[in-house]
Amino acid sequence: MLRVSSVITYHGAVQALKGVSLHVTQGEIVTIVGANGAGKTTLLTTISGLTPAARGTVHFADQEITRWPSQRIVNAGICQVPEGRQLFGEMSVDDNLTLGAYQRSRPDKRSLPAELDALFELFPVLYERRRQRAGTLSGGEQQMLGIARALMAAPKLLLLDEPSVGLAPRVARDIFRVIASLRKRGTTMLLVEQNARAALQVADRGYVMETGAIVLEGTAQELLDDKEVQRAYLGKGYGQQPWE
Amino acid sequence: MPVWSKRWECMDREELQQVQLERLQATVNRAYKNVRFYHQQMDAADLAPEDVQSLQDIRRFPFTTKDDMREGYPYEMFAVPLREIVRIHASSGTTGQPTVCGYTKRDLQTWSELVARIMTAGGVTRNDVVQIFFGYGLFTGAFGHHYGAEEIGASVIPASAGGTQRQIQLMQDFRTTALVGTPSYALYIAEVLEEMGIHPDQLSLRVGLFGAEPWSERMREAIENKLHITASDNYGLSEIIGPGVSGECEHRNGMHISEDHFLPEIIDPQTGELLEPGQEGELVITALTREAMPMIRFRTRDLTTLDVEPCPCGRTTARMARVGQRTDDMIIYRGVNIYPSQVEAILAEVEGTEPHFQIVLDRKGALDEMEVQVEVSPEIFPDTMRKLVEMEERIRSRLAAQIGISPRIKLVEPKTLERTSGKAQRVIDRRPDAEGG
Repeated sequence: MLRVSSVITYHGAVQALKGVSLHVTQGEIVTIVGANGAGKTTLLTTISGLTPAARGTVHFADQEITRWPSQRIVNAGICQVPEGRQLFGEMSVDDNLTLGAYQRSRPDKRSLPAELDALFELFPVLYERRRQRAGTLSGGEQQMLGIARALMAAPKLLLLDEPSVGLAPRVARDIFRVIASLRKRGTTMLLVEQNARAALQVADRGYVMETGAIVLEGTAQELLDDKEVQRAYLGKGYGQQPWE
Repeated sequence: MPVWSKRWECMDREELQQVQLERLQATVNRAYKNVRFYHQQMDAADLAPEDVQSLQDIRRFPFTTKDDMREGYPYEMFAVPLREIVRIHASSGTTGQPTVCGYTKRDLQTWSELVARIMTAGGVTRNDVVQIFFGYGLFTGAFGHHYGAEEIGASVIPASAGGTQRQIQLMQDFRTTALVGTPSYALYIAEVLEEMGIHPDQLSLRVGLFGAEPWSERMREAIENKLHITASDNYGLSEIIGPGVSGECEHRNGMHISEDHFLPEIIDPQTGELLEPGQEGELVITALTREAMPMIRFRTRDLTTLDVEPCPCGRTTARMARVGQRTDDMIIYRGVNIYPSQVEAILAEVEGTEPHFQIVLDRKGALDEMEVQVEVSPEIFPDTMRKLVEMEERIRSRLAAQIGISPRIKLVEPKTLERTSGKAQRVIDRRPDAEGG
């Protein structure tokens, strides 16, 4: 479904992505784990067209989307939930969700109420707060609203950037539970997380990023069992000699 | 016939190439970061990990040779700290320092999966009783097949090598259905069965997976006829992972390479130039998933061809032709290709002979002459002329049956053959146009 090949992206003079390749197939949750500054977010913004790739290609559903403007990429079905949610704080939960539907190229207004109901089943806490202003929600609730709003765009691929960042462990667990239930509904997701363990527990496969490059890939279970993943996640290097 | 992993073995080739690219980039990144040898080699060639933008870019990389591995003895080629290594194998040191191969836990899991694939392709199922008569030890053959058979769910008998009578007893009592080992030993077992008057139909044998040494179609035919089994060929080498690199399916049109784990190339062994598809040359392998020991463009010294045409079995992976020759140690005697290792394998099975021998080639008139000089253990050194002649005859007939040559055999007393430190001088070629020894 998504195929990223040898993508190089610069932030000013800094090479943030040094030839990254990965793929996501339909129905999969794929996670990118790695320490802060490894290039995970840049990878997502490169896919969604916000940061242009200097080299390499991005294919989505058999089309090359590398140089497409971001709005066209959204219309093609890739929707990103940005880190920090970026909600409309003065608007109600309901209105935030309805706005999400306008990211579709042709929203069908008649089906909206039914879709909202389906969404509230997934996020009961949002139903309770549907009339409340988004700005008054707790951090975890805002994160859920961010995901819910993205889902209203009916994306084929959901890009999640650090959904658990800044949340209390208990709330973060709720978020991952939501992600796991989305997976049962067949939503395809690319999930960027610093919390490698939690991300790998909900994902099918994963890639480990270090300083702009992928150093390991495998099934989520393989990576969970892997000592190198813990090392990469903790940002620890090797000793002077491999045998120390 | 079933396929062990349809997902990977029957993958769309475009999808496969994406997976290969991802894994190649990860491997090169890790090798550059964690293995001093690769770091220096890439720096010297003015290459950075990000230069791998496509699968073709690997052709710009220098080769890794067995000598590089020897220089890295024992642990220099490892990309992880020793505490993450859970297994160490080593190849025989017949030509000097052994090469050491490390495995992480994940490498062992990968290995099991890969051998399960080739064993399934060779006809092994969970209902089989698999008797492994490779030697269990530093050599990878036995352990690799052991894991693969267990992964499939078959019943494994770790018989290990040698003790032909015992092997036969196990085959009878445990109702072995699948044999795994060297083809030459399988043939030897068949001959002993014949001598003992045991008909193969009294056994439960069904299939055999043979490898670890060069063998011919003629030998396959002999094994199949004598043991009443379907015999398949497979290929692997410890530097890359061990058995599990490739194996034959029921169509016997080459050995399917697990390309999601190995990137094969064929080069001209003299110039190092990449050859066109279908041309015979030296097999070069880049391991795409080895954690403990990344291998970039390892020169296998095995000559073969590659075929990526679709196979009727449904697997989409490239197939390599049977490996008949190695680039280094083959000798040609009266049109027959002979490897010292074949002679060695046969001598190892003749009671009383030591693994010290020499092949002397000379020319009388137009005809090549061959003499095999064999040391005999002191306890057994024949005390009568008659016993001496009998033993020589035994060796000659084994060589004739298995390699198709009948050289002069000369038994010599223990420790009379010259031993040089390091490389054993197996072959002395005095033929006028011989290239070296």
